[in-house]
Amino acid sequence: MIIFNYFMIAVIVILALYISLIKNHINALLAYGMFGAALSAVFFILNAPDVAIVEITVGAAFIFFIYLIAIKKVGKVRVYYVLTPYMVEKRENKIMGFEYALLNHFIEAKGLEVEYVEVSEEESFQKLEKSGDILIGGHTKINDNEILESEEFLPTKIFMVGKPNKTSYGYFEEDLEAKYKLDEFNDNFIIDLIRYKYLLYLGKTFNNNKVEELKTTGYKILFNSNNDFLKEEFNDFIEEFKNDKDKYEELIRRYIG
Amino acid sequence: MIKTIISIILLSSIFFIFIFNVNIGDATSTFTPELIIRENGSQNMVSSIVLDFRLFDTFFEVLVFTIAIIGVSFYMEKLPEYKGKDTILRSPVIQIMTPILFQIIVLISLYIALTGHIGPGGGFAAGVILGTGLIGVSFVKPMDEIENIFKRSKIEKFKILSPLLIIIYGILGLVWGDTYFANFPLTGEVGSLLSGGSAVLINFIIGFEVFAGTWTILYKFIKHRGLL
Repeated sequence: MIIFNYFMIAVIVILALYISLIKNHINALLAYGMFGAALSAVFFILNAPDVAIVEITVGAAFIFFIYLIAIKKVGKVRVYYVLTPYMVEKRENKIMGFEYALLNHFIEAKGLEVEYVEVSEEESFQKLEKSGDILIGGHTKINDNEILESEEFLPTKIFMVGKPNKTSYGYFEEDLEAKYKLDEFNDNFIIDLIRYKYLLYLGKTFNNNKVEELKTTGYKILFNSNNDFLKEEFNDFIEEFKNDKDKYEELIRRYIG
Repeated sequence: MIKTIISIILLSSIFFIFIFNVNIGDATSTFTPELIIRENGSQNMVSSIVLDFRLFDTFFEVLVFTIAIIGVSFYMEKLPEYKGKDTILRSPVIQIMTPILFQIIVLISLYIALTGHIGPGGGFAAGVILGTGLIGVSFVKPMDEIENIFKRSKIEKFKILSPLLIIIYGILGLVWGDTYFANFPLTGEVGSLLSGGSAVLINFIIGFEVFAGTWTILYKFIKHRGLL
């Protein structure tokens, strides 16, 4: 019996090291169940059957269930996206783009389930507040106190072409009207870098107007006003992601160039 | 800032006043096993210590457990409810065996609570076994039915009364004993079911409290996070 006891104690030590070193959650949980059973056996051998009963129910069953429910996928997040060049694009029924890829990294890291829904520019904010969790699509400045903004995930610049009387989607000024159709942008507007690049790609030239750099800012992801927790998680994630230089720059190179 | 400093000073002064004024005395017990069995009547000596000699400690354990459960309920309420579809396992083995196993689990739990003073067991183990057994039922029954039972039984409110019951029992100790938390004087014959004074009663109170608590935790987790 003494030998069996020493064997069990060795098992406990090995399992404890295994639990603390393993990365996979489910494996750690299974090992914790075995740990509880082994500890219960040790208690039983050491003449403490009362404690052994409690340990085998709490350690091997109850905590196992609780953790199993706790580490499961949290639930569905509804993401609305506004089609934006380079950020969220649709090609052959597949969504792609920088912001989409970045958000997918975040969703994967947090173990969330996600549902992407396309939304038009006109009703994006109402839909976000009504039934969505996240809104993506190259937002730089919004005039809405309710909606939460994340940290800047990509630096950008705002350009002023001519004497501005309108702005592009994503950059909202109180006294200027926002227009959504990029093809109609010919002169006198404020625009952000990504969309400006797209205009150049379309073959537009602004020789008659002076192109001026207005200010430096960054793109943000928008959250529903109830999703403060998700926003904090995303801010932590983006800080960590930016430190991983290779991955971040590779993502920029692939989608923006 | 000033408030924090003042409260820290007050707390530490209360702590030190308490420490310097409490007479701890000789910590070793003068009871021998024979004395314990003669005085309490429980065959399981752990039970007689936990439920009679050190009932004051047990009471605070139950209180801490209750407060922890209230905290879990309170913070889980703030999470959004799980709206996905129920995952009911379609395996016939689980669907047929779980109701049968659940009855056995209930019987084991009652047995452990009832004979906690004779053999190994006790209220805490009984409550946890019963509460964990209920999660097996949630594998095969839809969540609505479980929710209905949970709401209808009002167990979430009744479980808070358990510490109160122990307090009342402790005060009633003045009636049949000479001090608070005195044991019920019917010690009976050692080894028989009706022995150990009020051990069975307190085991059932603690068992109910722990069962309600574990069930509340599992219910809140399943409701707000979904099952598996």
